Amino acid sequence: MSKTNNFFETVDQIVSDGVQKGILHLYTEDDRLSGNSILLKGKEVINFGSCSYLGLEFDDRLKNAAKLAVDNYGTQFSESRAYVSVRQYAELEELLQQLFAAYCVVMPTTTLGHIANIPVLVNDTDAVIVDHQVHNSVQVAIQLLKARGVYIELLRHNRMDLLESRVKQLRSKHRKIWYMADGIYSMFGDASPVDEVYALMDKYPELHYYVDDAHGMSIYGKHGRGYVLNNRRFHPKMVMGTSLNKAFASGGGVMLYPDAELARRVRTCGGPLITSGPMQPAALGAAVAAARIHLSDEIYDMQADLQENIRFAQLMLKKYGLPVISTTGAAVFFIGVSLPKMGYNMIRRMLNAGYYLNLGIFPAVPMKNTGIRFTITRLHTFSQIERMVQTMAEEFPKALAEEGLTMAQIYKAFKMALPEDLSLDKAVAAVISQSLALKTSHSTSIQGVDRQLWNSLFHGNGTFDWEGMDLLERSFTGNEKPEDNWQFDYIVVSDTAGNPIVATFLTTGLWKDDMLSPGAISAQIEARRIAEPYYLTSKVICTGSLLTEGQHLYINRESSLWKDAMQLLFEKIYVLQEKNKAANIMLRDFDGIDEALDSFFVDNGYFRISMPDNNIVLTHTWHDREGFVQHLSANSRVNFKKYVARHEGKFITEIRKNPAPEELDYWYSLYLNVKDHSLALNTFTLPRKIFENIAAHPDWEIITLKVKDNYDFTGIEKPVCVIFCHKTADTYTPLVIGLDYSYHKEYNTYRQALYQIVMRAKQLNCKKVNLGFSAGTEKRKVGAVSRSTYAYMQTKDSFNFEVLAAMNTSSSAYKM
Amino acid sequence: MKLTKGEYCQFSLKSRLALLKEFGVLITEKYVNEKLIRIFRIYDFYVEVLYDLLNNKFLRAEPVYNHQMVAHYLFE
Repeated sequence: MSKTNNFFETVDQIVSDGVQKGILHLYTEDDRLSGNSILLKGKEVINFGSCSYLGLEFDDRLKNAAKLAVDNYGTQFSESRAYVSVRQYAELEELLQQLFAAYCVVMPTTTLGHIANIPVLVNDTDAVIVDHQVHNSVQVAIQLLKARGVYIELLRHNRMDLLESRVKQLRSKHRKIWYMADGIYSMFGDASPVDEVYALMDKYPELHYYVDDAHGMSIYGKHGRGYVLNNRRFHPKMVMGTSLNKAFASGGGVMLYPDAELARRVRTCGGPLITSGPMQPAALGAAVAAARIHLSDEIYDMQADLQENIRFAQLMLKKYGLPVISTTGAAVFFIGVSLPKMGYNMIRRMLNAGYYLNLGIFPAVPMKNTGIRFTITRLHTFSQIERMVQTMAEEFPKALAEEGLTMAQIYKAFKMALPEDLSLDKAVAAVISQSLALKTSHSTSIQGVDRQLWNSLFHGNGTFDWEGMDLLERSFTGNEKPEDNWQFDYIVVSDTAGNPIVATFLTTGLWKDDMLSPGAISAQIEARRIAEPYYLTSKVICTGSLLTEGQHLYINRESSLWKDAMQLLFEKIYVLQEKNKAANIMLRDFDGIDEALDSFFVDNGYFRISMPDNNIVLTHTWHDREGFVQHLSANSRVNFKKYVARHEGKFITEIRKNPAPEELDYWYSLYLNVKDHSLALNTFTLPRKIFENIAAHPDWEIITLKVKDNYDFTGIEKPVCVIFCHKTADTYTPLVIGLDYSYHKEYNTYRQALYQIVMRAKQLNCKKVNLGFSAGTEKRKVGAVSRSTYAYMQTKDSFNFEVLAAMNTSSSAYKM
Repeated sequence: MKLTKGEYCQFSLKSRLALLKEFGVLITEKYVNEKLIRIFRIYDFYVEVLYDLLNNKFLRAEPVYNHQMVAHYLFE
């Protein structure tokens, strides 16, 4: 499954969960709206989710202007603005030009404005630096630049030091460097450091600023020009987009330019201005009325009223001790709750108590930074604000208790210092959370785990029985390179009788972030890794390891305590994550989607990702070679005859153990051939030590394929293929393959190897051959069945993944 | 949750009056030289509101720091 599908799959999973819980995709049920209360599911609630911060949507002047416009111009004037615009447009643009003291173009939406602007403003030779948290509408427009190969890179949120260093580096190659950001960020309500950006623009002629000030519009500045232009000039190298859809309360967006020529160019060439429809007369009428209010002194009273409400909300939040994430004075507030389950719980409680607030959840924020987002408008009364905050403060500890969380965990998730008065809470929680019914045992080596117990849980699942883990530990410790050293942790949660409820092993190691990315993207990154070997790599703590496949997590679902046991496991993983300084947690490999487990993981801040399909051959349904061939599908049979059977006699297949060092060197070189040949599953190169250990281990064997002398056209007389295989009584697992590609095309060596693996497994009476991930098409030709496999992931910092998601093969480069 | 006098004073006159309307209790009032003086109790303190009857305008809404003055209003 592609990265994009993975992303949408994750979003679908999380949003659908919210819809199912009755807190997303809601509809008001009121016949009329007139204030800040709305009817949801038959219950009257105070709306703390509106972005109409000044409450102008109920102003009679706007309402009457909209009605009059419909009377005068109809419901729609359906012509492209490239031909004719209804006269209100001219009036509105003139008023907005006065309002902003800048040149403007009015758009049906801010999103369309960005789509009109960005491709026209940015030249192919320009560079674009995008703030990590810039609004999705800007990101959508940036996609259009990618197809042109424009240089684009992500910048960590609001990091002006990094911006300056990137500008210094890029200015020799790019005539213009665009920094794209929001004035006020829509989720946390924090602001762009405008003064610092202005200073950098004054210092570096190449730097330009493209800013979306939708959430600052109307509520700040002269005539409500917004946050960016509050007490600031319109910078000559700035282009600004803002919304008429929020505090302006009418509809549409407006794009602002420092000179007439730029405005003219966008008006002429901007895609949506040529082919998309215009704003409706009603919205234009309301916008003209709103603009007139903005140009009067009345706007300042409205701004002051809102600021008083914001100030009161800030005071109340402080007094009630809620974990406020950002306190910038904007009308958007974000209360951290850390995990989605806490967010769902709180939103539900607040709805029941009569308050509608937004859930700030992935993808708008990282999974563990879920929060309650709410807005304050001029329509709220002080009492409404206090009662809402008071209710939140009362419900918060109840929700925490219900979800097994503490305030300390929330502050930690947002990297905030725990207030002094909550330190006791942390200690108390630690005592309270100790379970009498469950006991957790932890070991950092398999030597500390009872062999019989471990093998009773995991033997036959893959290469990670007790002996397999011992081999892995010996191979991935004491090595020179950081990526070759893993931390091992074994966790078993048992009931009072000592019966395991949950058990797993975790490895912490350095992974390439592009491990599952398309090969073309990995190729770009590998080019950069020549100079910076650890570029886009992260420490990951995962159940299992990079060299094991199968069910790494044992859960006794028959136990009524399995969820409690899993919570203890999560706690332990968080502790290890901190200790090992791991950025990401991955729980793998899950066959198919188990609804109960899936929902449980999401509630606890994990999102599901598709892994490459796992390929398995079952051998018990046939007895011999003929039976194997008959068992294949018609297509596979044809392929088998054409590509495998035809060459079968050209190979000598041997089962090997304990090779001489120079022989192992050669086999290792074959592995390196494969490693260098494909970036499909991009991992670090395995150290030679693992091959030495495998070769000497009784549970492993090595299959080699040599070409018979009369077919050997290169005369190398050495194996052309080597496969390192793990065997148990039931399962045969080829772990690593090495190939000499000079014979591959002629004799289809890889397919021959797959076939020989299956035959060897049958010879050993193994019922299952675990052919692992990738190359599914090839593996299906030898009878493999592909199984959808999933992992659950939690990231502390999604920046690297967003850099990857932003990349595509047509872009020239992506950097930090 | 209670605001302190200092926090109350951070608000504009208009908001102070709104806070009195929503959270305050009128204790007493008095007319002096075309002015209406009202004393409200809000949170843990008293607020003196001065209204100009001639111009129909609120002049101030300040916390009372001198409690003898409240006693003066209450028991006069």
